[in-house]
Amino acid sequence: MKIFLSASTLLTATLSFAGLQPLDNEALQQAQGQGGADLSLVLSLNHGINVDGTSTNTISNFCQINYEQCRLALSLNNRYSNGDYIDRVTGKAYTQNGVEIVSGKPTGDKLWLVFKGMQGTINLQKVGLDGADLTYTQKNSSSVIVKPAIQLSYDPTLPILIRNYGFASLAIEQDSGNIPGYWLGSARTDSSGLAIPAYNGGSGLKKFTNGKYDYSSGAPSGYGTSSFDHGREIGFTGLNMNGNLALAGTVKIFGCDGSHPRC
Amino acid sequence: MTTLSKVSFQKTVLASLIGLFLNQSVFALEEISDESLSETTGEGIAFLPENFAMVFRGENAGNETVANIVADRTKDTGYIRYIPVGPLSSSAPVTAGKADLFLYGLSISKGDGNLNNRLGSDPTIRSWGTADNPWLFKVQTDSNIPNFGNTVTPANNCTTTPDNCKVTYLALEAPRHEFYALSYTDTTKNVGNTIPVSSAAGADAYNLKLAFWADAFVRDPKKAEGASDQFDLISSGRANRLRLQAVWDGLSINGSQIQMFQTLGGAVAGAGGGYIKDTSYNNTLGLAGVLRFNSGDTRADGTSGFKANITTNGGTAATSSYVDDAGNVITGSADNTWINRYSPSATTVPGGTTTAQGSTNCNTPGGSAAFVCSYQIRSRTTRVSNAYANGTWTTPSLVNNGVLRFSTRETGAVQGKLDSPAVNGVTAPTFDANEGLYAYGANINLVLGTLYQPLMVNKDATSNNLVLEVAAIPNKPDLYKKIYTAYAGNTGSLTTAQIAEYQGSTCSVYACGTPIVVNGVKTYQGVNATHSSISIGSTQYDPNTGLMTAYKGADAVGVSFGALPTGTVSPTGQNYYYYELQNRERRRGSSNTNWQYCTAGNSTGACTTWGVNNTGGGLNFNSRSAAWKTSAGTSLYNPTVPQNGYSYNDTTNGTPFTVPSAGSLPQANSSWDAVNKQWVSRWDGTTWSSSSPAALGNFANATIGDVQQALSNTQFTNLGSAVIDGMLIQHMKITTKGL
Repeated sequence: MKIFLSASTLLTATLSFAGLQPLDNEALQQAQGQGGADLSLVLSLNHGINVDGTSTNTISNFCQINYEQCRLALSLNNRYSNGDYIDRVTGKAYTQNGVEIVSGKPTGDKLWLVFKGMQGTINLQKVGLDGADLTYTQKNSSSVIVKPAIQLSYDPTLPILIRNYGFASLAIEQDSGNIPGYWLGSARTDSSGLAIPAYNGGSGLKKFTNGKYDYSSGAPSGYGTSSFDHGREIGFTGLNMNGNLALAGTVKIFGCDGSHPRC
Repeated sequence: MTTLSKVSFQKTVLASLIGLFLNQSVFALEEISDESLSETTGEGIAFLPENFAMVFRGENAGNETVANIVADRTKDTGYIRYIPVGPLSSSAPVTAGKADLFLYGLSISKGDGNLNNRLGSDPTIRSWGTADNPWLFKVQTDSNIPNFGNTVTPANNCTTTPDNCKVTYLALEAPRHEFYALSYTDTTKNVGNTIPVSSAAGADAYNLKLAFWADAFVRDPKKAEGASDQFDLISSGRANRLRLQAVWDGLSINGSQIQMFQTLGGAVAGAGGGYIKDTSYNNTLGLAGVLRFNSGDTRADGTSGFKANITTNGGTAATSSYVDDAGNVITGSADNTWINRYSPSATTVPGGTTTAQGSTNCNTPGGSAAFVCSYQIRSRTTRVSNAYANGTWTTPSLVNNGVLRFSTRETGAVQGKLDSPAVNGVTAPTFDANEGLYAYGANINLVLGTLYQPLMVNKDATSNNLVLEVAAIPNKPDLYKKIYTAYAGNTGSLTTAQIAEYQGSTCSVYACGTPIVVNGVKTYQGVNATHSSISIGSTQYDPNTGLMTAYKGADAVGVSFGALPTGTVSPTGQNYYYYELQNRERRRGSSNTNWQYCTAGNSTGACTTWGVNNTGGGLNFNSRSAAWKTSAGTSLYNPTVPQNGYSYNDTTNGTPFTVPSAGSLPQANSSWDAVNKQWVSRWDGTTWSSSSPAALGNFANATIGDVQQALSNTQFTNLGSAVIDGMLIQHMKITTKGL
């Protein structure tokens, strides 16, 4: 399922690049008789490019140096480091103890779930885009509704080529003053002029320098610069996918409105 | 940064969202407000996969023909790797390494009943759901959800009281699960079978195949990735790999759903009265999942129920033979081949004493010196083979039921112990067809969080570790009554109406909360159950109480090591050994100088008729028609221990004799019969006194257990069924370590 979702999200991402507008039922029905479109596209994120324009399928030199810029950060849990949060309706800020913060702004540092080292090249060799009708029985009625749908089709003989897709590590980071948590790494001044100090800390096996595990000194016996974690961005489990996803079949996508028994 | 708080949620929003993320090198998402999400309450995007199948092939497989994809499993080497980044916990022992896991060849297709094939020859799922019952991505608002405390401050969408709040959620829903027929005591509640039968109507959604195989290594965290000894933890020379294949044939995930929402508030630090004190519960990311992985209807009742079909047609075999002292089976010989055990011709009391005296006869020794007794003893061991020829054991049909199988043994050219496609480019291995752990009819229905009791993702307060927590249930009747179930039985002082206020129920394969009615017909199982249920194998289900139990008959199937045999299997012949020990005796009273021979005895070995006195030398048992009697006990002669020899000077009868020493009798001990894999007890309770083994009639019918036992010795071990039903998570908190 993970694969399927990944593939389909990237596909839909491309549709938005193309500036497509949502199609209503009427517009789709008017499109009957057309043969549809076959799409073929290569999506590459943070991978290098060969001279012939193809992806190297490995992380780009840019991302090796500017690794802070090759991350995806999500802040989904509405939580600050000191437990402050914002009420879902009033929009007011509250402390961990439920006391309203007069200034209206949480005083803690915002927490982020950061996917570090995001990368991947996906070659969608062929995706068919058609329209098709389907029928269902109207809710609380016996009448049949004819519904137009977008139909995506996949050809297993032209699999989706997934190369080195995933992230190197996953971490929870928190803002440091006015520096976003996902922006921490090496000491630098970013394009907006914000001076960012080196992200160092921890000790022993948790010691990190510039946001990467550093076992060059102070690590327990047996650990050193050749150890597995040394030089990797801090966090836990990374994910990596490689292979050819042979996908067969069609997916009809349609709006589920009030006439549908499930909506 | 991309702020989307004012974007109304229409069909393309999701796509746009993801598209926007990919536009920049760094992406930072912020929450979508409830206000904008709730604008499209109840509607969503439906999608319907048809003729669907997928398999993750290796990156070197190239563009293949469908025929090749279906036929060639060695290229199932496309992988998902879980990279073990991050230091081990400081409390981890030095013998702990990191688990490096590669998941290969993930495939989803239509089930074909083959538990050793990850992709069938006809793999496409004709319709995964239907237009009436599709997959759904939707936004909806539920009302009357109690918050965590007794206050509506902060406001939290609670209209009047802290028990009537609204939660707006984003949900991904699989097609709803249809009904298997249910019969209630109140027949007006009965539910008909609504499971589709044609693949066009969505039947394939109840017969999926989910398969993958995996390699896991223990990585030495001190060594570099790619080093030749990277998996040789602490250089102990034990580098190895766990290889596993998982196939679930006949799977359905219908009825599953995942909800994502912002939790309510109400938790206040220091709150009393059993309300939630942990303010990290307030207004954070909440998740709720009904995760259903079902194999089908596994009810065992009725002739077509999900259980083995066992027939026991009675034993017809009676070929018998005897066993000599060396343990050799002598076939074709008469049953009455006896071996003399103690004094071939004449003897006295066994055990080495020169006299044994009984008050009245030789069977009650220890009295006054009234008699001198002497014995002759013999034994024989008879073997009856192929006692059960016609017992059969047939696996239940798997047409409407699924099996989850894990296996590890390879067959054919076995790969090296550190080979793995992602490590050194080998092909996918070939797995043994019958080995492994099988879960027949596995039905797993997990309720992981609800809108009332969300699953939350947080950061640990004192470290950067991730916390997964299923909320504790507060001592708040409005909330816990939506979760708890008032089971039948001791309900204390609760009235019927009060019992009905407890709305919790169990999500099993047969029901999962309030049935969903479409056009007046109970069509789909609900999704609002609060308790989980896990069952493997034959079950019994009572729809009146929602209680599922394991079927406990000997014909129950479920967990099995090795594949259950398909079709009919006759058990191998069973050998049974019968040991007989008999004696003859004579006595001579103190006032009688001549031997008196026993001419008849009863079934317990006691002499009932003594012959006339006989005089003269050379008298022996044979010439005096002495009767052989059953030796039913060991009081006079224990064949399992050695007997001392001795001499006796029979001055009265004029014939001295010597009894040689004898070891314990080889067939007398209980022993392990390696050929037939059974314990044989040749002494205890297996004696008879007639000249032929009349006790053959005792095993005219095999039992179900006999048949199962016979099969267990050869191919598989059936452990029967198992059920965990009505499982409620009160509070669960999982924290990662090491960060």
